[in-house]
Amino acid sequence: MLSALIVLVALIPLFFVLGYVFTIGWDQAVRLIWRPRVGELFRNTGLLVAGCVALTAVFGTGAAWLVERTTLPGRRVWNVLLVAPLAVPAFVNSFGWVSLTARVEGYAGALLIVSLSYYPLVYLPVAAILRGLDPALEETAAALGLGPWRTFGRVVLPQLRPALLGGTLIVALHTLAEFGALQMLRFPTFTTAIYDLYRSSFNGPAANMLAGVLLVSCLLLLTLELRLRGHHRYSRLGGGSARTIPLRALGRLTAPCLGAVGGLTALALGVPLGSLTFWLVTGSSTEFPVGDLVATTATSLGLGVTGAILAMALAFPIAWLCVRRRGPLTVLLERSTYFGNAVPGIVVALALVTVSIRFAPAVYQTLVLLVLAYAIMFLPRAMVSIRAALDQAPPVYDEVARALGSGPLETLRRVTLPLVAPGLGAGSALVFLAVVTELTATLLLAPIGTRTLATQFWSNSASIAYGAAAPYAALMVILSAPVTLLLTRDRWRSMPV
Amino acid sequence: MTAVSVRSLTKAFGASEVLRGIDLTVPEESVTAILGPSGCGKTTLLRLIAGFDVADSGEIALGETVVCGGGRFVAPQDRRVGYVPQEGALFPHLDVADNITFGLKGRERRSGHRVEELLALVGLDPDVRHRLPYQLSGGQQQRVALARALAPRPSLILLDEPFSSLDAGLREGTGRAVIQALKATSTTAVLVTHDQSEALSLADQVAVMRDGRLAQVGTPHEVYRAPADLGVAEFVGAAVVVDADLVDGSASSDLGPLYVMAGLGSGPARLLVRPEQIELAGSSQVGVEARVVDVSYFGHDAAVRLQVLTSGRLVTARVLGLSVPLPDSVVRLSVTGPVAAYSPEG
Repeated sequence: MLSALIVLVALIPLFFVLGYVFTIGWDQAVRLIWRPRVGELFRNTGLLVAGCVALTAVFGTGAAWLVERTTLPGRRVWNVLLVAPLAVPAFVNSFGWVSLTARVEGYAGALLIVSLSYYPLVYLPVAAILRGLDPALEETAAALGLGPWRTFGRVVLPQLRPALLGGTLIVALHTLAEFGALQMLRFPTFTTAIYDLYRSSFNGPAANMLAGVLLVSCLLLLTLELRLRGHHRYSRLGGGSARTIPLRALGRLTAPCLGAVGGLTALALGVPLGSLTFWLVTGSSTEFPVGDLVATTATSLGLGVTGAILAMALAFPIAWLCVRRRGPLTVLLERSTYFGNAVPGIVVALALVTVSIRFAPAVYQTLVLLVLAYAIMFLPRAMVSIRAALDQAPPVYDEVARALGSGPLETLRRVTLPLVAPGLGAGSALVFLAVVTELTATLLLAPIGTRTLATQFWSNSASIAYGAAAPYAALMVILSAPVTLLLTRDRWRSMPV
Repeated sequence: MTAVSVRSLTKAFGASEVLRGIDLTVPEESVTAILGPSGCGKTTLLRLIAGFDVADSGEIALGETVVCGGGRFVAPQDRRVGYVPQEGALFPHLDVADNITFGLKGRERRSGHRVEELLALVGLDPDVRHRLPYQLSGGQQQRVALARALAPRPSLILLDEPFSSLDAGLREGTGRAVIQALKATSTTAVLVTHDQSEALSLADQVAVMRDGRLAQVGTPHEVYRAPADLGVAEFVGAAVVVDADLVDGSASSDLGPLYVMAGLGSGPARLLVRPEQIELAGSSQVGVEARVVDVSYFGHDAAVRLQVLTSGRLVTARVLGLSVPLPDSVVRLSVTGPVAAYSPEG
């Protein structure tokens, strides 16, 4: 019952779009969508998503293969460095570039910068698969007479396919939802257009219909992702311990490969961090608003903690049902929460604005609405972490503890909580990180006067006050770094980002 | 004294009846094995005795106390029943010593002075006390799980397929160590298994379970040599079934004359011959001629598949590894010892 209610809250954006189409009528909806401007946005968005998917697939797979399966020097360090761009929000990354040169504005720049920000989403799952692949498969292929390239194409690549498709689909969803980076690079897509329509003219109908189109695109991608996920399993078949995988000697190719990985790191990490440092140094010589920084950091931390607590609290009952009382209904509930994965922040924000003005004007322009938006958007992350945590505490431990004389409360305290706590902590950290670096919904929903790291950064960089924007960006990166490091550990690789 | 008595116990999950009326008495200080194929309901019975599930009807008593039935239900933590699940299920966040003392109270837990004694009881080195579960082998985990269950001195220990996850080589040794620890502490045990040799070798009493009912309860010897029916016979060991006419406790068959245990009188019957009852002789004049089809040689013994020349029937004989005939040779076989007889209807 409680879980069903939570799911209903999570589905507010969907009801909002459906309800909107219903009220204005189908003809009007078609008229709003069927415009040259929408066509142009559609082309832009499509080209960008397709390009980013292709580029992140190449970056992610190539880097993962070099790090996991070859004798590339310094593989451990590269592993961390290649994941590190996740600690730099995409809008900070584009700030790093665009504040150095305006030539990155437009399609090519957007494609490069968004891909550089999101390729770790492909790198992580592909590297995990490459690490777990049974070497016997490749040895069998070799024994059947296949050379290294044909083995890669016919044995390794097919096994990478689920991870590759899953990873690139997440990239596609992120790209569809990306606002800050693209706005900064002046490349209009659905998301930026919705924002502009809403901000400049409060053009509700047009913005809402665009949101509908965006939501449908995202849902299509999500369905695709769920289908793919249903059909594969990562684990190795058969018993016995997996042997370590022999590494391919790079030989004379060592230097070019090092150059490729180094170049990727330099572009994805070096440029934004270097640019940030540059602006910190040159910008802070004039003024360094310590008081402001402390206040906004405190606001961001507070929002992050509240958002994390709310998302975890909402996700817990559903996750518990899914793990301990699995049935068709609970699976449906669980699936419904994944919906949040596909809803761009801009759509969540629009939906909450409209719904709150209509039904609960008291919460409009309050922090309650903002925190609720965070919870809806990041519910899937909380769900996945809690599920993973609950898997660490199967019912058999409860039973053993009960048989040893522990009552239910004592069992919870001595067995279940100690087992579940690390996973819950990691889940909260992931949500916290996402909230602190969230820009789009925060811009639309933050009450007037509420200033977070992201919004302060945004208003400063929008008025080309790069030096003033840099400290806020640096703080976001510093806050993100520890959680990102966690993702390079094996245990957390499957966490959603 | 009986440690456990179960009467007319039933349990259904949704539409599927898992237990359809179980009656079982477990004598004190004995080991009872519940033997059955997977899905027969044996784990459910164990969970009902432990108190993890509630029976639909029937009664369970531990000693004199009714713990389930007649409107009474005693929670698992108040039953003083030790539980060793499959694969041990050691608490992964606690080391060996903390796992073992988990069920102890107050000072006894904090001092941990019984850890060494319990480790010795299950045949483990005292050095393992500070290891974490993942640092132990499967057999060691199983032994620690038993020590943990024995620590609060329960009157009864329940073991759910405790050895099925172990390698064959480890299984026998671990099984023996477990039984020794149980005997040393005079603890009653109920062991659930699908492995016939495990049940026959470890238990004092074997209860054969089939489709939610107990098909037979008896000593290992009874269950093996005089099974209640041919289904039980084929489940607890390899069987050669021979149709023959009984005349006054003996029968003639294409395997030669058979001496039948008391039971059936005269008339048609189905007879159970165990492979090790079939003796082979190379050149003797007694016995029935048979051709050796093939031989599976195990070292200590061998399974020899034979075709009886007169009838064409295929039978398997189990012979010592010292005297194994060659394939395609012709030998003479005879059946020694009494065989069990069943009426032909079933």
